[in-house]
Amino acid sequence: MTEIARPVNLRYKNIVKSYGKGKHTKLILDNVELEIKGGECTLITGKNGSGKSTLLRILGGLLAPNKAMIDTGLQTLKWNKYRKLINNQVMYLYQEPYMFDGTVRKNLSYALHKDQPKEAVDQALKWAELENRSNTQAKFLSGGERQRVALAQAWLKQPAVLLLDEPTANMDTKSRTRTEDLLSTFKETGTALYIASHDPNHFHRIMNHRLLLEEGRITQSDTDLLDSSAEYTNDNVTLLSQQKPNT
Amino acid sequence: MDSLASTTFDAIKLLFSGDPEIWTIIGISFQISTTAILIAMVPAVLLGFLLAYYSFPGRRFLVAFFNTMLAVPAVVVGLTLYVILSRQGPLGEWKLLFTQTAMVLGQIALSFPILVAMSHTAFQSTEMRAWDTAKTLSNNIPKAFMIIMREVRFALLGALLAAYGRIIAEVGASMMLGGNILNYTRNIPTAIALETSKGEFAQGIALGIILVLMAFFLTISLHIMQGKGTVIHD
Repeated sequence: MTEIARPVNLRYKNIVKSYGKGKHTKLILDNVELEIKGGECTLITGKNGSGKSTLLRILGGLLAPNKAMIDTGLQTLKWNKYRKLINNQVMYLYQEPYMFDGTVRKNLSYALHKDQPKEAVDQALKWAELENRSNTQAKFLSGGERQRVALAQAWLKQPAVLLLDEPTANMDTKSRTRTEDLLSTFKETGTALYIASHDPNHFHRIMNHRLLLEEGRITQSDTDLLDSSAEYTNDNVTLLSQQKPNT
Repeated sequence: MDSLASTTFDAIKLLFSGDPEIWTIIGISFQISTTAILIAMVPAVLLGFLLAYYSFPGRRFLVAFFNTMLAVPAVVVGLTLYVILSRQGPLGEWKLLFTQTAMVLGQIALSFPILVAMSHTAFQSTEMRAWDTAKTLSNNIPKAFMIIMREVRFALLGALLAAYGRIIAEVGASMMLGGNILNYTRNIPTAIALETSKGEFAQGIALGIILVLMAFFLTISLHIMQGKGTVIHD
């Protein structure tokens, strides 16, 4: 088994993360349990320092928890095995996406799979409305444009799960709306969205669920805020490797 | 002043005369230093990368060790290797002392800490976000490594030039390990030291001009390459 069934239905249990040792131990996440479903958007909200980014980095395989079990629907895994399994299927986007030296086109080309044609970069530029910025040095882009480059990279990779850390922070209303529009297209293709935001009112157009994280615990859970995508059932489960629209 | 001018003039004449002895010395210098830098480069850059992005036991010690090694004089490195390679030393049987191989080993020992420390700094300067992003985008470590290498290419090039500049101009280790044998282990710095001690300044200055020209050429090359990488607003 080298793939996660897609659309995903992942259940995370007992996520614990702390820093420091002995009496200096600081508990960041305290037995967090949550679920990620393909085609659905979950907003995780809370104050600064509540553990949102830490949680997202753990889900993205970038940070090891002290403890966590993950049920993929087919098997139950510890985090280390989960991290190997999610390779290529879970993508984490930073609040300020890192742009490598080079043009926007060059940055997008890094996301190309070896089987994808180079023309897929043009499609991604068009999708993210970045065609007129394709030859601009990516490091000079505005925050909103950087976020769109990162989303275009995600669009090329078509991950099963997309994790976004404060993707619209410091954006004006127009840029935020455009980002939400782009995110909604991921939902339509069955990608699960997990968004960390300090503002619980952002993303109301696309969010299905909202979780409140306080001092490392989920203290409030609002579900079914939108009609969830009923078409994603176990009957049409496919693997990511069979579903690369840009190849 | 007149003496300096006339000696410099003689040195330039000597260079353009195609004197085989002087050009052999120059050839040996570049051959040994280039070999040393090519051997040291890959493992040193890999180590710098690991020190920057991975946590493992002894990491801090290694960082401190290589930073300390930057300050160790070339003659001390030469002396250490001399003891190891001398007939009574642990590698005495290999009979490497006063060979070009010994000089290469000495120059590797000198350039390695510079390459590790400077490449470590270069990788660190890109912050963890860059490495995470490269991994996320490529989904394979070798490809992610190449993305990061491209990101820090100018800093790495700077490290290479700094290391090359140090080893091609060092005299202590080359003298001790090579023995300054004509047409075999005599390189630019050992030849300068010898000619100066004999009062033959023209050849020393001629070789010094080569070192200065090389430093100038390498610096200009770096600036040109960095210029190509300069970002321009559209």
